[in-house]
Amino acid sequence: MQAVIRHSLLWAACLLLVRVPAAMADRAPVHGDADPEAAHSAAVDAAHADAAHGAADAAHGGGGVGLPQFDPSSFASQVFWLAIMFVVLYVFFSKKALPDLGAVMKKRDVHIRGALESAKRQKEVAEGLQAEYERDIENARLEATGAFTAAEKTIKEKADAGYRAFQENAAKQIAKTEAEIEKAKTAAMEDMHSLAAEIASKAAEKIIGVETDLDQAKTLVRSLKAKAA
Amino acid sequence: MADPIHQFIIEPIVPLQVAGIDISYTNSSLWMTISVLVSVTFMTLATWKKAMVPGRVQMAAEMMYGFIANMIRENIGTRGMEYFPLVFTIFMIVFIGNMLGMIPWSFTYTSHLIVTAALALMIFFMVVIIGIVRHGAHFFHLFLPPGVPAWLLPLIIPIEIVSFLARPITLSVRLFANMMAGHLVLKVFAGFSVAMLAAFGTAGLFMGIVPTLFNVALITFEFLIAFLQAYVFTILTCIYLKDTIEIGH
Repeated sequence: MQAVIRHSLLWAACLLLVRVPAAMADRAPVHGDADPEAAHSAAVDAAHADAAHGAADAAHGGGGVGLPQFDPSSFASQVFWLAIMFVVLYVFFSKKALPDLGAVMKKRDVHIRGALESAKRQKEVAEGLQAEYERDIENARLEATGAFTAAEKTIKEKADAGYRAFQENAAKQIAKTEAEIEKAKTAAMEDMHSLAAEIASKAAEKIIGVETDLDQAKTLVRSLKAKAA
Repeated sequence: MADPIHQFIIEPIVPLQVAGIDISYTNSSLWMTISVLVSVTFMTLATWKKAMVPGRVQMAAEMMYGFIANMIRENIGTRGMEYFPLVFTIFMIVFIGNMLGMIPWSFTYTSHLIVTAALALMIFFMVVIIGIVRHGAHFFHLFLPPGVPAWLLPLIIPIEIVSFLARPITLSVRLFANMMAGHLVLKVFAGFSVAMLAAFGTAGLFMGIVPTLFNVALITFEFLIAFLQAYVFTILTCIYLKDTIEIGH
């Protein structure tokens, strides 16, 4: 700010240095109450007389009566009308324009602040809802996982039970079959022993001609078999 | 060729004398009236709709409102808002006056020392009277900056008094000199163009373009000055008015 003021002051000073001394110098010799028209024609004459020097000289010519700014005859009128205009403007601004404008701006300010406030509240509500929604989702997910695990467990148990039942059944069947085979084998062996004893006693009868005891032969075969085993 | 001083001559439109004092309605008064009409029309249009979403004119007026209100808040403080209409009026009368002066063949009433001096003296006496009424003898502490060693006081107090008394002079001369000098320079450069044409004929027509182009740049600059000087005048008014609110120095 200071810089701006200083700059403009400097600028004004420079222009004044160029202009005012000339005006002062001109004012001194021809000081009088010459009317503006005369001053004007003097300026025009000066310009005609020495056109090459241009406007600067014309200014000198006009300066013959001094700057109009320093002519006190118009002061009263200027101050009088300025005062009237100032009062009119002041009254208009202070009573009408500025309060109106201020009221509109304040109203808008209040409105915007209210809107911001309600937006903030709505945002909070929305955030609450979102948190609730997320909680629900989480719960549902946990529930689903639980249900899935339970179902898996049930299925596994069922499968295990089925498998076990099948295994037991199969084992039972195998055992039964094995027992049957064993029985058949024992029966077959028994038949073989009887057959062997019979053949042996028949052979002995044929070879040596003696009547042999079949039961004795059978006992012998059995003891032989036991010895072989 | 026109005389650069001619633009400042006061010409009565309606001669008027009251008790031997000449208070004629002049070209200066005419342009003051136009300035008031422009301000009043502008502000009336701006507050016509009182719209929540402002139009262009209302927006411009609100920007001015905010501009002056901020200036007061920054330079005087919130309590300075009691001077808001006053500062706003001063700004508008100076700003519109400067701007109207940029219209060709118009009259720049702010280029007259008596006008700027009247405004500056009004502010000066307001500060003195309100200051003394509010602060009493304490108002004269204005001339006694705090923290100055006692042996410097004989030097500082006269300086402070002189700088205080110089306020209306610097305030009024700054505005008047800027406006007058700017308009003089514009006219002088325009005169160069015409003079070259008169002196060198066809060649002068081309040579005359140079000062004309220079004038184009100067006119832009003058618009800046017209605003800037209104701004400076107003902000200094704020700074001076601060003394009626608090003597902080």
